[in-house]
Amino acid sequence: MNQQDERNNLSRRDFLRVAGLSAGAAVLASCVAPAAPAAPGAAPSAGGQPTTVRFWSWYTDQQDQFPKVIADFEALNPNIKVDLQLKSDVEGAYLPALLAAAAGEDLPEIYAPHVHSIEFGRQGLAADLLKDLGADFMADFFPSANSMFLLNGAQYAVGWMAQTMGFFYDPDMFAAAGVDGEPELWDDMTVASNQIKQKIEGNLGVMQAADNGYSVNDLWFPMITGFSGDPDTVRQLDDHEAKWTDQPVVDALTLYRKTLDEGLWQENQTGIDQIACLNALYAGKGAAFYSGSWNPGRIYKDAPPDLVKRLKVMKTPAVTAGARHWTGNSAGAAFSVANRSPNKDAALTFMQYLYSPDVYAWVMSDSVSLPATKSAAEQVTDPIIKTMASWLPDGCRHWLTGPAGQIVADTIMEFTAGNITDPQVAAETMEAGAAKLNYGS
Amino acid sequence: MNSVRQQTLSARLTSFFLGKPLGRQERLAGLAMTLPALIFFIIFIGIPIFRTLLLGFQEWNAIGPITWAGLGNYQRMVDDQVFHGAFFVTLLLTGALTLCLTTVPLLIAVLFNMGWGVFGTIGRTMLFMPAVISWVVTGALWKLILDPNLGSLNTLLANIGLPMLQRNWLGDPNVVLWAIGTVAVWQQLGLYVIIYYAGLQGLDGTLHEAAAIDGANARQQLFHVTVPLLRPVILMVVTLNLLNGIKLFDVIYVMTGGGPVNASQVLGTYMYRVAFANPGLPEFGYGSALSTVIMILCILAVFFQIWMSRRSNI
Repeated sequence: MNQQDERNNLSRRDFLRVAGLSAGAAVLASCVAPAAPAAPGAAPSAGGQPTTVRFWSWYTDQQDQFPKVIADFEALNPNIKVDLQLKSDVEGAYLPALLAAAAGEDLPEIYAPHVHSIEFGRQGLAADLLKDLGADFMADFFPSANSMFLLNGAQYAVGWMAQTMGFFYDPDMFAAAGVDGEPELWDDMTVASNQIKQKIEGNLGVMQAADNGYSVNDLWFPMITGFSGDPDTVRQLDDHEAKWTDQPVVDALTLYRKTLDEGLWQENQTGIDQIACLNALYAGKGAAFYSGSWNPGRIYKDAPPDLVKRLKVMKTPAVTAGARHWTGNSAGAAFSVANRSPNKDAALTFMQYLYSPDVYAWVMSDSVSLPATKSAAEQVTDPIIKTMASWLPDGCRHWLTGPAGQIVADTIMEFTAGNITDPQVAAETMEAGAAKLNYGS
Repeated sequence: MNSVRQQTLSARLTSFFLGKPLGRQERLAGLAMTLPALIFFIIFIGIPIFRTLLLGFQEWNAIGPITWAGLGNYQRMVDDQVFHGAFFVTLLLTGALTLCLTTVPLLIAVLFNMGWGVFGTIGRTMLFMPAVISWVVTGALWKLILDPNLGSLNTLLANIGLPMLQRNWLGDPNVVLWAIGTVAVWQQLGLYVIIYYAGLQGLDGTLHEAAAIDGANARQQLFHVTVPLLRPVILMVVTLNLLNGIKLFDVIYVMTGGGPVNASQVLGTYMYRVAFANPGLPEFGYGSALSTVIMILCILAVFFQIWMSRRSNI
């Protein structure tokens, strides 16, 4: 080995020293806390850094409107920056990220809480918006759009898009099958569906997305309210203040069983999700589809133009003649504010702007969405949304936020698939599962 | 004594990994070079595994305090009917797919190995094409094909005069596992054909010639020459199939979400539902316990592979 080689080659000892030092440095670097960044929502620094409001949701219905609203807001409030994150995959991306943020006590300043509003509120993570934004701010909301976010007088979220449920249907198909007008009762709907299936060859009639229990809950929970006459019944069941074996539940299961047995729904319903139902409607293979007010915007984009022109929506049938047409309405879309964020004030400022009558009404109208406030509902122009908005006073819960959600969803799927046929047995199965659970304080 | 023991252990470790004893400096150099990877492994794999094992004995809903549950999560499995079903379906699918995806690709590869010229190349390419599609895309594609009312499979059956074979492929608890199994075979078949085909290409042809001279027919050559020589490849295919079967998740998640009525629920989808897609708050403790069961099954599959390797002197 010549002198040059000795200079250029690293001896084994040198190599070991360098490698050891590098590894040690890497370990130390990973252990040392990173330099604290400017608190994301702190007041603007001396350097003029704006306060950041992280704004998370999965509501892609407004993906075209949010950027404009944020730009306008930032122009009016140059000291606040709104960082929007839309994750369309609720279960796969949005919820895990939200829960990770909650676990790390670093919730985004404004977020769509999904079903976690009450639990986050209980833990002090969600702000009481009634206290922070005032009763005047709340006055304009439909009560049914906010009720599921209310606990002991504290409002842990406010509705963004209200939901009402009904039947989207092709009136030409109903007319071709000789069905006059809109069915008043569930029995009438069953007759109409069978008439359509008989008169129009290969038609699936009236459809529901029954591939999972949560979609079926959208359908049979309003039946519970129909029999109890009290829109608070499902909330009581959710909190286990009422039992799943109570008479309204058994009556609702009995009625739902009747719709299954008498052929109201399409064949093979347990293998058909919402997208498949919509595709069948677009293809002229189905006459009506039970679903919610989040659909019109999607239908207008995807359905054949002639179907869009004639498509109508009809009320959820009543359970008995002359009874109210209770409809699922829980404002599944809502926004909460992180209670412990240093940028909470900036978040509340943005919330006030987002829900200011003009801005909110424009967003809802432009995105063909069903608003959660009365003033915005008055400004709706789309005929289907307008019709569905008129049902908001008849809104009742159509999903659960409590721990019994899974057992109820699983049992109603067993019931739909025919593994359980007796309504009383189904009710007892739900109650047996629900009674074991912890409902918190 | 300790020193002797250390040396023995050290020597045993080096001979295990490298097959020859190393000097102290060489061992230190090796350690230094593997240290970054080791640190990476500890931080991103070791600690999460340890954390998951620990969480299996705790209860945590992501936002509340972590509480000690002891064996509560494992006791819950004893009474949990959905877990029992998922465990059974996992074993059933793993066994069926392993059997199917070990034998059928071997036979196809043997056929391809007979020649066929350009047709063989086209055939292998066509068989392999599904394997380059991700499980998620595969699931979404087949979900459309298997739609009971508008899907192309039922439409095809009706058009060729076989409406009696139409099924609610993904909505009937009695049919859904057949449908998912078929899709899994469709997706994976080509990959294993190629693995076997590569193995066959490496075999010494003179052994087959010798067997033929001795009067062995094609079947005898397959079972007494080809299969024994391919044993290392077969073992690898079996291990891959076992691990893939136990971990099966994405295609089921996309096609059925574990439904209908939990009929296609496997341990992976159930763990995901409990830990991440719970309608209420997540149950990370129970989800971690389920993950631990999956991990134990995977470890058993690896032990099986090691045991088979040693038994076969591979």
